[in-house]
Amino acid sequence: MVTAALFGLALAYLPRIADGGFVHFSYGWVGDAGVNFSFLLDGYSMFFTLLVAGMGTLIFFYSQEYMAQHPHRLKFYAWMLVFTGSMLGLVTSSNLMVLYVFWEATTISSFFLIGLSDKEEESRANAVQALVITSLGGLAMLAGFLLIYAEVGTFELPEIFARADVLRDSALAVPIAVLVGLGVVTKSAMVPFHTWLPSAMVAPTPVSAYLHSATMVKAGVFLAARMTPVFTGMPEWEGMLVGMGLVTLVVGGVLALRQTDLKALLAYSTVSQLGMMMALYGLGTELAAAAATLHLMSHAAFKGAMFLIVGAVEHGTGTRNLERLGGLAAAMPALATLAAVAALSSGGVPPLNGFVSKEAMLGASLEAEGWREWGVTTTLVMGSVVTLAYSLRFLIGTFFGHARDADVHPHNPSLGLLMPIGVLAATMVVLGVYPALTEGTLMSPAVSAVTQQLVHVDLGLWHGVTRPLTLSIAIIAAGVSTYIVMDAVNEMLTPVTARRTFERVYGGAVEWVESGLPRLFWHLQNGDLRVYVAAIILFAMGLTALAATRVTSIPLSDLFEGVDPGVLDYVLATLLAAAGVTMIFRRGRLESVINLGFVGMLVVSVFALYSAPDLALTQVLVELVMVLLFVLGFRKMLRVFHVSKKITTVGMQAAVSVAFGAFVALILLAVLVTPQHPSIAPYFLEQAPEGGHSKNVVNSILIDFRGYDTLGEITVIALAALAAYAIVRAIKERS
Amino acid sequence: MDRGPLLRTVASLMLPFLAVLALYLLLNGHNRAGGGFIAGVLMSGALAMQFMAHGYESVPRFLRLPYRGFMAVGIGVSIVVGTIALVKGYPFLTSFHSSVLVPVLDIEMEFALAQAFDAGIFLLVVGGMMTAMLALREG
Repeated sequence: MVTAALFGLALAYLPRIADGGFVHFSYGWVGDAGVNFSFLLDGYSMFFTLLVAGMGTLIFFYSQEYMAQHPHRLKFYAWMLVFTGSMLGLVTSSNLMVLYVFWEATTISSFFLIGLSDKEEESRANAVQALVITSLGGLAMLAGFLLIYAEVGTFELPEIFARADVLRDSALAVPIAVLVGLGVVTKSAMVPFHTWLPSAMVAPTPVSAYLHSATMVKAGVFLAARMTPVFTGMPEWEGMLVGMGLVTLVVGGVLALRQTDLKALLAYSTVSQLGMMMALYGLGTELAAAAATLHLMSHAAFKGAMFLIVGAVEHGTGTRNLERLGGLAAAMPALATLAAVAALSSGGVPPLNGFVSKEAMLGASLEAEGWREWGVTTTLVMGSVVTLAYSLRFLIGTFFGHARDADVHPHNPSLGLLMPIGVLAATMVVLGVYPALTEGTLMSPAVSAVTQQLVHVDLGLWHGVTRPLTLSIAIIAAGVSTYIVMDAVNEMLTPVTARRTFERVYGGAVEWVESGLPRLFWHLQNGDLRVYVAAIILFAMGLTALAATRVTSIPLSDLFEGVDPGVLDYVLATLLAAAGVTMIFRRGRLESVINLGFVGMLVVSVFALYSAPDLALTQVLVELVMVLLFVLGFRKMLRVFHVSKKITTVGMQAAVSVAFGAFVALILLAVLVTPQHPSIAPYFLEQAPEGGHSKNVVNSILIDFRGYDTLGEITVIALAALAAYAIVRAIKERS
Repeated sequence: MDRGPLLRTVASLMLPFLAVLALYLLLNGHNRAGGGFIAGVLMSGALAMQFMAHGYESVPRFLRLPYRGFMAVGIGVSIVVGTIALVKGYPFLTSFHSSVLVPVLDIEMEFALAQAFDAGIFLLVVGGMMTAMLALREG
């Protein structure tokens, strides 16, 4: 219902967008960092919004029937809605940071939908695989976005487009393109990052159809298209997208040929088709962008339909294994008809929409310059041949021929399952016969938004006898022949395709991380607090020393200029030093704690003396509670410390302690004599009564002016308390 | 677990005074020394004293509160307070203030929204400290 309403709402905006207009609005978020909730509805985001909302409507409708008996039904709907919202946010974001947030939100909802059956090992492992691969890519992309901000000072897409040439000429252009590209290719499952997508097929079929075919996996393609005005013309960007896309097209297609699980077949075919779109957006020409956008729509329709068909088949027969299926057309005539439309559209047979978009792609690649003309075209042709072959295998293997397993008793799918598929099939036919329907309202604005130039897209089923048409005829002939000799082809390729190279690489990497890193961490984190403290101190000192070499140095003789101690200062200093020294020789834990409390109280006196009442008050109470906590914590421990007798250990500890003491003293002295920047104190003193209506400046800073910091700090307190609670609980349960 | 009548008596006698002092610090923090954090630390110190003097089981029931929940409420209050400004169209955590005539005492008192934020901090500190301390007691 919601998605249908959204679809309608988006449609209402269509005329405005079609006329070349756009809707842009923005809410402040973290304005100082350039992060605002700004959204842009232009031709391309409109195209995607309609795609997401439209497919969503059909798939939610389908799910009502399909998921009716599913044990995790509620979780399924919740996460599907989260996904729909995030995906719509992603495609309409105008701010890169907001886009990133939605991007990861789709990853997370995908994770939970893949792992829907959380009691099953396979389901969990595959969900993690998808999460790991796509979020690693996402992190690279985030780094790329930050670099973009560093170069052009904005996260807003329109402003970035306006300064695209600055970005392209900057020294960081190549790293930015590669990092953003990594996000793109992992999300859209390009070889060699494609392994998560076939694994994701453990999710229920509506999820596969919606997320892992029609929409989410296209987020990468979406971003590639969005970045066209920025990166087009950069050989690194083009090479990455076109190269990986073409490899993916062929590898995915060949792997799809040998699958016997229908969903696996569709998963690899999706990988392959994504590669095709990626390669075309990578080319970046107007024709290529138009063809890729058109194919994006075709693919969503036919691949979504094919997934839903598999769901209906599984629903009606209890299996989706090609070795057990066959001859279903007799039992399910309506479904078989729809399957024929979808599969033939996928295979690029006229007069369906898959044919129109494939023609457009061939046309675009033939117009490309240099090596691309023959390179891309040849690969496209190869990919299309394979595509037709596996589409035929999908269709004929499932619905025609003879039944392979007598135990399969098909029953006809209900109207609830057939309707959404029917709508998609009707779309394929209509857009195939009359492609110009979307030309002005949808395609031209979308492609104009991608290229940031006014483009008129010209679509048609029949262009006369052209080179693309000749190629199409050749593809159909070759595809049918490949289907006929498919078993032989699979046999021949088995030595290559059966090795599951990519899966093994991923498995190896995971294993290395899981077994190798802990070993490293056990060295670093050996459990001895004293080592940690020493490490932290030494690191801090090293860092500060490094920083000190970069600023103008202060002569040592000047250091004591700001110091003018009185009698009371000497007394306090002596007492503090004495308390410190006795601390070293304490052997009992409780005695040490009380000694430490004494040191704390002396510090309080110092604060009181230098008129910092807030600080003194806080310190008194904190010392008190700290002593209490220590006493409680030490109750169950040995009464005395373990003290090392080894001279080297003691020497090291002494050296670190003395060095740190001297270091802190030096810094404090240096602060006193360093010329102050204009002090911020007067500002706060003035602002507290006015802005905060408060007479306590310290408190005003804490809870009002710096409220964000405080909110963060109290969250840390809560986390620390919870951690303490959890640790104590764990110890208690173990003993 | 008996820890002697002296400690018990003193602890019981001091609790109301310390509680009032904590409240005073909390409310007064806006204009003089004090504030949610200090008040929270003081309050948890006072409570901890009760638990140490009497032992958990003998402490009056009204002090054996779900302190872990306090943390959630504290953070919740702080966030809600911050969001009020967002709803009104100001940046997150903007404070507002107004004068209120206290009916019985017939005096005018000034309140700032930041004080509600402070109250959230108070709750969180009490919750956090007590959670940690009671956990250690059990261990």
